[in-house]
Amino acid sequence: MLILPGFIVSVVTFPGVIIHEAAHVLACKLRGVVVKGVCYFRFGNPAGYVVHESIHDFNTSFLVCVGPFILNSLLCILLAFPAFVVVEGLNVKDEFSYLMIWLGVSIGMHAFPSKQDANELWGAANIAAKRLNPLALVSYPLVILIHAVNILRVIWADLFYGIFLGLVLPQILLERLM
Amino acid sequence: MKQSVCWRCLKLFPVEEMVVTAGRSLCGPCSKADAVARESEPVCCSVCQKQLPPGSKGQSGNASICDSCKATQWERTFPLWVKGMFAVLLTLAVLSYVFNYRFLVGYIESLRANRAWRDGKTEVAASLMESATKYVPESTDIDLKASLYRGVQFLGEGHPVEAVRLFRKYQEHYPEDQGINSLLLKAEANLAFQQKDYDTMLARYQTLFERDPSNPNIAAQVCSAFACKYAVTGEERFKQEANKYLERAKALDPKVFAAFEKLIYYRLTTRKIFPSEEVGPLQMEGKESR
Repeated sequence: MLILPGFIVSVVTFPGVIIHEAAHVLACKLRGVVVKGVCYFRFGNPAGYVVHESIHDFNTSFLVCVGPFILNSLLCILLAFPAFVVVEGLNVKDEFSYLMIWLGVSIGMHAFPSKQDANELWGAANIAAKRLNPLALVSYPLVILIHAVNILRVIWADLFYGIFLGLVLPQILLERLM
Repeated sequence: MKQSVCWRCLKLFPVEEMVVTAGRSLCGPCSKADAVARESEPVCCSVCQKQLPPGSKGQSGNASICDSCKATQWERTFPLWVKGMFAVLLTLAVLSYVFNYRFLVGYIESLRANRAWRDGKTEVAASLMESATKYVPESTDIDLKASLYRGVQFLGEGHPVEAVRLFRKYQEHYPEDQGINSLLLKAEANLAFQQKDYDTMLARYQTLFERDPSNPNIAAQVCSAFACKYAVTGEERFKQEANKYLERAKALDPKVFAAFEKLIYYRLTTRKIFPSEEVGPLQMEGKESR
């Protein structure tokens, strides 16, 4: 199993990092949370970050945390699907499609929230769960899943997710629908 | 029971009864009073500290921000290059769907063709796959599958010349594929029968039988080939071989035996061969060769 430093993976898949941070910012904007600072990409660890004010509403916390999962996943499918048809489905060599697959998978790889995002969500869920917020109760297993995926990044779980979304899921869906 | 101190009245209350507002834990009555007080106290923009109209509060209970700072924030947190990147991604996505539209249609046609093939609808599968080749002429896979499906249809309809040509085209790319090799042998055997080349016909069916000795149809075809040889040469050994394979076909599947028995009996007793007797619709299982 090839193990690469995280920053090298981030450099190679930099569009995903940018979209990930942009998704956080977009969620903050939609919910009126002041963004104090943002770094969309840098050569370091973390490769990107967003600094925002404290959030007191759990639904807002939830949206800010899972925003990248929604936006990155949707963009991954949108970009990779036509390219998958050409390269994988029809076995036709096409450079433009290879570019689109790289874009799609790169973006899909960074769909999962980071450990910091998960920790923030956990803290907010602890408070909201006392008021029996159903979303807060759902968040607990979600946070565990996020932490698990972040640990499994060592064995390329994020890459497999990106490939699954961009290349495997479209094939499964198309074969079932046709 | 856990208790907490109210930030306002400094009294102890159960944690469950406390309300967290702006980072402060307040009891029920104090939280209501605090809300009223906050409605009337001056609110300042959390960025530029400019006073906002009374009662202003940010969305979802967060800090307030004036419209000017909100617009500036939007510009600063979404710089031009980020917006440009989004625009480029969306443009690429649109272009990808527009330029690859024929690939999408061709791929969908090929999936429908494969489904028809699995359902045993050979002619429909062949037509759909040929339609797919029109959309994607550069795809070798699609072109070869179209050849395979059409070849199977021709073989079943008694056109072995076309079937052999199409199967050989497929076999050039997949020489190790046992499925296509068997189909080609069948087509060549049928073609040999049409050309009255019974030696080639027998050789092809014997090769097939060696590969699959438990197949009753193939056993019956070997029997038929020996019967043709007997009809032409009159040699008893061919008649004996024909009877031997007839018994073998019966042992493997009595239904196949029943279908062939009259044909073989007629051929062995009269030593006559009718062209239409040999080629009948072959039972294709509709599975992909590869």
